[in-house]
Formats: sequence, C-alpha cells, structure tokens
Amino acid sequence: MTERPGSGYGLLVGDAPEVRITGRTEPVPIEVRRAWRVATVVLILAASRGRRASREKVLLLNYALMNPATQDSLVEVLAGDKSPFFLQVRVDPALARAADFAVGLGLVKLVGGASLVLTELGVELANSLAEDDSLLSNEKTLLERVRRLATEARVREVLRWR
Amino acid sequence: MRLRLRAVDLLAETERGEFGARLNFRRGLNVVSADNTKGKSTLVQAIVFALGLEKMLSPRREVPLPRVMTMELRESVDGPEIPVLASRVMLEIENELGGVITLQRTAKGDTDLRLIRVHDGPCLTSPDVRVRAKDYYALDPGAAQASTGIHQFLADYLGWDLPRVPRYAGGEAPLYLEAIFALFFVEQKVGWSAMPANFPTYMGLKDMPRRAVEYVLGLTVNEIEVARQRIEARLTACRSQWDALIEEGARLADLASGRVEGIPAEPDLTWDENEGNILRIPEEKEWVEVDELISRLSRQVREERARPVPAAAEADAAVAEEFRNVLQELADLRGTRRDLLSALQTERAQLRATQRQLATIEEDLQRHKDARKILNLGGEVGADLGADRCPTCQQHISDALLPNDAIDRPMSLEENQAFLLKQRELFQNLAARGASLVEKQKKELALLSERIGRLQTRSRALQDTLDSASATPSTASIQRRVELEARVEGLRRISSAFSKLLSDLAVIRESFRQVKSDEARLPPPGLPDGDRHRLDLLRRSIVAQLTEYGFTTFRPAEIDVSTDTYRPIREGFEIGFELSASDAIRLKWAYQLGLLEVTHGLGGSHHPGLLVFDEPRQQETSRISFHQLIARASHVSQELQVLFTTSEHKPTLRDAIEGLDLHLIDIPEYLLQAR
Repeated sequence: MTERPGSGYGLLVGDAPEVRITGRTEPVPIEVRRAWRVATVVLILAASRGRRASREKVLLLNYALMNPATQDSLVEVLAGDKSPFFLQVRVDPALARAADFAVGLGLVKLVGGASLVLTELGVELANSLAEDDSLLSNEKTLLERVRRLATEARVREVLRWR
Repeated sequence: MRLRLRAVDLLAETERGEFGARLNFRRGLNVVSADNTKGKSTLVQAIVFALGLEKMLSPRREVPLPRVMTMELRESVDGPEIPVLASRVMLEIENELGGVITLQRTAKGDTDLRLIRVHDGPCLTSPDVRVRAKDYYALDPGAAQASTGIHQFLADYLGWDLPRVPRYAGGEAPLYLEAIFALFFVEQKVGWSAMPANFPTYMGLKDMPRRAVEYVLGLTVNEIEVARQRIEARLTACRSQWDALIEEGARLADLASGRVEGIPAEPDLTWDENEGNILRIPEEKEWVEVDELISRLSRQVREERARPVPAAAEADAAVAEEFRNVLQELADLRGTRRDLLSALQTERAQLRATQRQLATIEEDLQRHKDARKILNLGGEVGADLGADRCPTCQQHISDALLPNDAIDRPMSLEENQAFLLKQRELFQNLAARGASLVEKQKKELALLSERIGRLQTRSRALQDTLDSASATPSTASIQRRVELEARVEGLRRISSAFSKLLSDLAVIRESFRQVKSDEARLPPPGLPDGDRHRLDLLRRSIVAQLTEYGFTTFRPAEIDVSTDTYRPIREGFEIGFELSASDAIRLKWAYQLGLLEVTHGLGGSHHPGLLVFDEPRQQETSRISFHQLIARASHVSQELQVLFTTSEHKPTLRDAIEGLDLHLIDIPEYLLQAR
C-alpha cells in the first residue's frame, strides 16, 4: 500500500510520510519443511531392497512416519496380526512435492514410471543421515521395525484391501 | 641457593689407554673456545648428564653424549678412530653454603647408567682428600623411590622446596628440575629453538613454562590463587551447611504446620541468634509465637487441672451447645474443603494439559534441530535442500511444501525454531506457575484437613459425653485436658529443637566470620604489586640489553613482559615470526641473562646464579652483538657464574675479549686428549 494515508479523507494537513504494511509471518508444521521431508523419503528408500520402492510403498510408510500414533498399527497390519481396516492411509500432497524435489536435486530417480530409486548422490546422503544416531531417531526406529515386513507384495495387499 | 660449577672431568678408556679432559671454572664469566667439530658440544651435554637432567634435552633414554664418549674418538684430524671401551663424567659443584660435592656418572660401562654417585667433597680439585659417597638415581619423574632420586637430592642441595603443580594426566607432581633448568641451561642442539627457553613440555606438566618462570622469579601470584580457591571452598561449605539447617528448620515448622521467621536465607554476620527469630504456629485464626503459645496452653492446662472434672450430667447443657457449634463448624469446613478439592483438581488438569503441550513442543523442536542438521548434510554432499529456487524451472519458492497460496508468508526454518523456543518458554512459565499453585492448594488442603480431624475428635468426645451415664466424669472434659497436655508437650519438643537449631546456625555464622576475615586479608585479584615490580625489572634489563646487542626488528623499548605468560610481548601481542632469526637469538640472550641479573639478591627468587650458553652465536648473529653479549656477561657479580662455549675464530675472539674480566679456556685440539 503506497497510497498516501489520509489523502482521500482530508484528515491530514500537509504531506504525510509513506506507510508500508507487511504481513506477519506464520509458523508452519515441520511436516511440510522440504529438507525434513526429502530426508524421510531418502530414508524410506534406503531401507528398501535395492534402495528402490514403489510409489505405493513410499506412500504407506510415509503415512506412518507422519502419524506416529499409527506406527504400532502399521507393524501389526504388515505382519498380518491386524486387519488393514485399522489403517486409514490418506493421500499426502506434500509427499508428492517432496519426491519431485528429491528428483530435481538428483537424489532420487524415477524408474519404470511407478518406482523411485536412490541415485549415488542419494546413497551418499543416506549414509550421512545414518551416521548421526540422534538424527531422525524415531523415524529410523520405525523403518527398522518394518524393514523385513514391508515387501512390495504385502504393501499392495494392504493398500488394495477392501 | 646459588650453584657454582667448579670443575668437570671427562674420561674415556680405550685400548690405547685413557683419554680425558679436565676443565676448571671460576667465578664470573668463563668462555670455552673450541672448534665445532672437536668436542665442544660434548662439554655442556656432559654437565647436564652428570646432573641427571638429560631429560631436559630429549625424552629418549639413550645417553645424550656424542659418539666420542660412547663409540669412538680421534686423537688428531688425520689419526685413526679409536673405539671407546668405557667412559664416565665427573662434575664438582658448590652451593651457597660452601658445600662442595662431586657427581660421578658412567656414560658407557657395566654400571647402571642411571646411577649417579655423589661424593661428599671436592674429588676433582682436592683428589687426595678421602670422602664418603652415596648413590642416587636419575629416575623417571614420579618414580616410587623418591628418596634415592638425584632430583630430590639436588633440590635439597639447592634449598629448593619445589611447588606441586597439576599434570595433564591428572594429579600433581613437583615442578621438575628439568623444566626450571631450561631457563639457565641452553644446549646447542635443542636449546636455542624456542622462546624464551626450550621447555621439556613433553613431560606433561600443565602450564610448564609459566610455572618455571614464576618459581625462578619468586612470583607469589600462584600461591595467592591457591589460597583464594581454598577460601572459596570454605565459603561454599558454610553456605551449604547453612542451607541444610534452614531446610531442617522448615521441616520442624511443618511438624506443627507453622512457619519460621527471621532467619536469613544465607549466612549473615549481622544476624543475632538471640533476637528476632520466631517459630510461629497457627492457632485459631492467628499466628502465635511458639513459646507464647506454649505458655498460653500451659495456663489452660493448669486451669483445667484446677477445676474439678464436671460430672457428665452437669456438663449437659454446655456440652450440647458446644456439640452443636462443633457440628456446624465441621459442616462449614467440609464445604470449604470440597471447594478446595475441586479447585485443586482443576488446577492439576490444567497443569497436565500444559505439560502435554510442552512435550509436543519439545518433539517439534527436536525435529527442527534435525531439519537443520539435514540441511548441512545435504550441503556436504552437494544437494541444496534449502534452496529458495526450484532446481528445474528456477521459479522462486519457499522451503515449505505448500501450494503457493496456502500461507502468505511462512516463517523460515530458523524463525520457526525461534518461535518454538518462545512457545516453550511460555509454557514452561505456565507449568511452573501451575505447579506452585498446586503446591499451595495442597498445603491449604492439608491444614484444613488437620483442623477438621481435630474437630472430629472433639465432636466424638462430645457425643460420647452426651451419651454416657450422668455420674461418670465428662469424657469431653478429660479428652480436652489430655489433648492440651499432649499438644503442649509436642510444642515444647519442637521449641527446644528450634533453639538448638539457632545455636547451630550461630556456630556456622562464626565460621563464616572467620572465613570472611581471612578473605579480607587476601590481596586484591590480579598480579600483586611485588610480582609486577619483578616483571618490570626483567623488562628493563631486556630492553637495555637489546639496545646493546643491536636489536633492529623494532625499538627495544616497545618490548614488555606479559603478566599472563611472562613471555616477551609487544603491544599486547606475542612476539614471534616478525623477528629475524638473529634478533630472536638476541631476545633469548636478553631474557635469560636478564633473569640471572635481576634475581641476584632478590628475596624469594630461585635462580642458581648460573647461566650456561652453548654456542650463543647462532644464526650468524653479528659478531658485534656477540661481543656485546660477552662484555655484558663479564660484568656480572663475582657471586654469579656464566659459561659460554664458542667456536668463533680464535684470533678474533681474543681481540674481542681484550681487557674484559673473564676466564678463557682454550681447547686447541680435540677435547679428549691422551692421559
């Protein structure tokens, strides 16, 4: 707003200085911070066979990472001890954006149209993330728990259950 | 105490007979003129070796003497090499009390190379006199048999009570002689390479150079620091003892739901244990001082005793009235308690909610920290995770994965983190206030419950009375009497415990007084005036000498001696690389010769009055500078002793020392000659 205040109302006498109004910044949840999300995508792929996972698998594991209250359910469902009914996986637009960035930064490659794989650069980053035990420790713990259980076949079964 | 070298004798046994060297030293300046390749370095190394201080030259365990003493020697330049079968060094020295001893040590042979035999007399200058001898050892520092260690012996011989200093490895050790001697023994190979001296820092003492100079100059700053720390420790002990007693006082007061007044939270010298310290107990609706309450209640007890116990029937009407009042009061109090309870529950719920919020914020903060680490790691592998431009189309974007119109101006990661920190502080304050409110309410509830309890007991007694037969003594009355007496007894015990507490506190106050007065006698922090004066003396000597020696890198007057490290500084900065090599040598001369001059006659200093420079003319320092050095050294008091060894061209040297008061020892050929 660069219009002189008061000029339209005849309230001020003489020239008033320009007034600029800028909005306050707002906090955003960590789940939409690009660096953090890209790192979780890299971690998911690093914990997958051949460092490669289908978009569906990434979606499923990502859901549990973003909703820690559902983590125990995920483990039980993947193990077959609980019905997939108890897992209401939602679509996550931020995930798609994070994956796109990961590709754009050269950390991840799209293969066969429906799978993501870590590039050499991505593997380097994954190794750096792994070195610091205190970094993303909750996320690493969950991925370790589901490492063997989250096969592509089982993931498909769970997501397509009706 | 001062130390003077009297004579040194080197002996090497070969198949062709004995070879050796004998040098006698005098007071004042001694100059040994010898060729560089003909054994000059053997001399100073042998003196160090005889004293058992070879660790000052190198951490290695080998004998630090050149091959001529341990392998083979030559008689003349074109003569053959003759193998050495055995060799030894003898050094005759004298201390300020006139005690002359001779140190003997094997350099090659069957004897333990660490053994140093100390003869109790001048074996070199008066060989015919028979003297006793005792064996000592050049042990590793800190070795167990300190009583047979040569270093302890030498320290005693010099009258030095070595201070204990901290080691890097933990614990303490006496300041090693090798560290101190670096300030007056400069050996050719290693001694000239560091400013102001080449300290054997590998030996692991913390702050070794500083401590050595401190001891030699007799500075008191360190002792004062140690005393200050001890006083600090005593003050802390007083305070924590006081705290413990205050705690106990609070617990004592709690026993009667009372409170303590008049005792300061910290030891206070103006506090009087006899005045103004009160333990107050709540009674009815006021707070009464405990002794006052005791006498009030005691009076009631006496009155009760004086009255005959009324028979239950007589007391009926009064009892009934009291009973009604008590029931009414109980009902009121119970109502108040219910309100209090519900308020407390609300507060607790609030507090739990606040704590849950705090936990969430902590998790969030942790993830933000993680996000920053991730940004760094990304940067390290070359992926710019925080870029504000799209890597593909270069459009401007924020680092929040939101559609562009979702939030107008999202905070940056750092701003978000700062925001969360403020949130955390806010909630921590809320939680703290909530917690203290909960405590307060709990206390009120406890007090109230206690009152209700007492009233209930009273009402039961009254009930009993009303129900019981008419001739029996009134239970209520007896109960009241018993209760009063018990209460008085309890309060008496608490009051006497409180008095004892006050006298215990008084004892601590007196200790505190003592410590404070010791503290007041400490000199103010910072370098004591005496120390400053000594450093200034050193500075003046250094400046004067540098002027004489032709120091040119800057004006000598710009030099000062650091009051922290005692090293030479200029404009507050360490002097280092800006010096030319020969100016650095001049500075070393000035510093060490300065120490020698300045400590002469200076009380509390610990310089042996001896200075040994092995080849002071290093780095092609100009001849003129060197001759100035010789001139200055020749003027030292005859109570002191200086020894220079030099390989300078002999005719030039003779011209330079013409007219100077010194003792020239000329070694024309090889140092070791056939005997």
